[in-house]
Amino acid sequence: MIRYRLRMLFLTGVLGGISLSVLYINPYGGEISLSEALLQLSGSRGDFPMGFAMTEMVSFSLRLLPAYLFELFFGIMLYRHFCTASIYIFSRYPKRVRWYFRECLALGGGALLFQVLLVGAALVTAALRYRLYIDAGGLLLGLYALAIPALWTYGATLAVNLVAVKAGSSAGFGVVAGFQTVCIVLFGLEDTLRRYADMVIEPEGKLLRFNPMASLVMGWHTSGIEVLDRAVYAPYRTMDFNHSLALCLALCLGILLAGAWIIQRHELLKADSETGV
Amino acid sequence: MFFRSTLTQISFLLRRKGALAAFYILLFMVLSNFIGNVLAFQGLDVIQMYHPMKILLLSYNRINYNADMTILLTQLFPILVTCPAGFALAKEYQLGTDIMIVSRLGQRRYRMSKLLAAFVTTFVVFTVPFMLEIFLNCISFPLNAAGDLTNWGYYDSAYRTAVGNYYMWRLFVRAPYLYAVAGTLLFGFAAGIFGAFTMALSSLIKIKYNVFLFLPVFALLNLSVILSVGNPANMVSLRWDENLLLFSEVPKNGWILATVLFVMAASSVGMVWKSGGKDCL
Repeated sequence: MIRYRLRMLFLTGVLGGISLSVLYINPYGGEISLSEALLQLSGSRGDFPMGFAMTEMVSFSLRLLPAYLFELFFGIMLYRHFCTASIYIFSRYPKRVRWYFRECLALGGGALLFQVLLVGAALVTAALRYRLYIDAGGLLLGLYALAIPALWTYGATLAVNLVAVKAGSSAGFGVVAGFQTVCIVLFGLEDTLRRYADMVIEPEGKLLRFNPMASLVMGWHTSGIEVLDRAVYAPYRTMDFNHSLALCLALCLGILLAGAWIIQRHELLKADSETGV
Repeated sequence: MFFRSTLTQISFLLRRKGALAAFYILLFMVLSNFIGNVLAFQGLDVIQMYHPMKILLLSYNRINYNADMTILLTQLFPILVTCPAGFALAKEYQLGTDIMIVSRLGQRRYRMSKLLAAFVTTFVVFTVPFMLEIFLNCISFPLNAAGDLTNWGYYDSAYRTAVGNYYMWRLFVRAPYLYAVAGTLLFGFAAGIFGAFTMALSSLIKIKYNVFLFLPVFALLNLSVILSVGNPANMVSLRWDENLLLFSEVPKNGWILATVLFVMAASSVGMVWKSGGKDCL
């Protein structure tokens, strides 16, 4: 089982990274900086940060496809223990919360490894196709480009597992993927409010900082570190890397603690969520 | 016996949580789009007003104005299309209730009727809300409004080229409302094929966790988008949304869509036929 999981993780990460690189890392003139490559991986088109047109939103959703596949394959990692023989398993592990945190640690490691593989494969592919040069801003951006999406993927996958414990695996993935989709569509909320309710939100981009999916768009962030801020050159000054990191961390922590409560109270003797029997 | 069993299964599938959830989500999106249209266009003169069919949720023309709900639909579609009937056979197999029906109908007949029921259920769920929106738009907006959301004039060569790229463009030119109805039925038909395909796959491959049933259609639809990335603007589009949405001005080839749907339908029937011959013990 562990070998199967690792195999899926490597396949999804590496193939996902290669395909993202081929589809979205396209420099002018045959050379690209590390910062520009990372920005293009997270939604930017060339030098331009991501906008709100339909094509750009669809394109951004496509960049998240490897993460969705990770959520699908690993969304049963904890849940499978509650399907069949759950009474047997938890008679062996009477301290459920301890077991839960141990599994969550393994899942977290998997999410981080997945993100490293994804970004690594994308950059290696870009380096083979073009001339990729390392800039100081790119190194710092790389840390955030690993940490923030890894936290987000981890939180979403854990949420799929927890919803699945209560409602089945299909409902778990459907609800979490649906929530992420709605958050992506809400990128244009300020424009919608201006159009339909004559509400002008100042400063521009203010609502984005509360949208969890906006944390994944590196090109919208500012930073107190000048070299990083210059490398990103965000159109709005309302989103900060550290704020997004803190938001993702807080969400993960919230899901983790809620999960401990759910796992502790889950009745093992009731119907299997997958079949209803 | 076959059709009676199919009708019973359709009736049963339409009452299931998955079908109801998908239906109400689509209905919510349709009504949100309708209310948004009313708020945006109320008070406009008929000369300024856009064609009531071009502001539908299923209208690709909306990308020139405000396409939030359309984007939401295109992103949720790969997940929603599996919900009404894609899990039907897998759940019955997991519960063991298929044994009772198979003992009365026979394995193959049962699976074939289930396939047809899956198609019809998904078709109904993905057609009724959009038909309702057509009706609501017809009674709420002036029928003689003729504007296009690109704001191109009718005699503009770009507009003529765009209309020439619609599927059934001759029908649109003669009867735009009938075009909208036909396009919605085509959308529902394609959704039905996708739902039935998922169900057919579940008949051939036994899976333990229903979440993996999202994968085939999810992967296929996203693959169609991936294959179109970076293509020149005048190249035939392979993207499922540009092919299935109404008023799509992107160059398309109807034969490609027809072939894909035919292959999926034929393979669904083939998979169910093959799985029907397997030993059910």
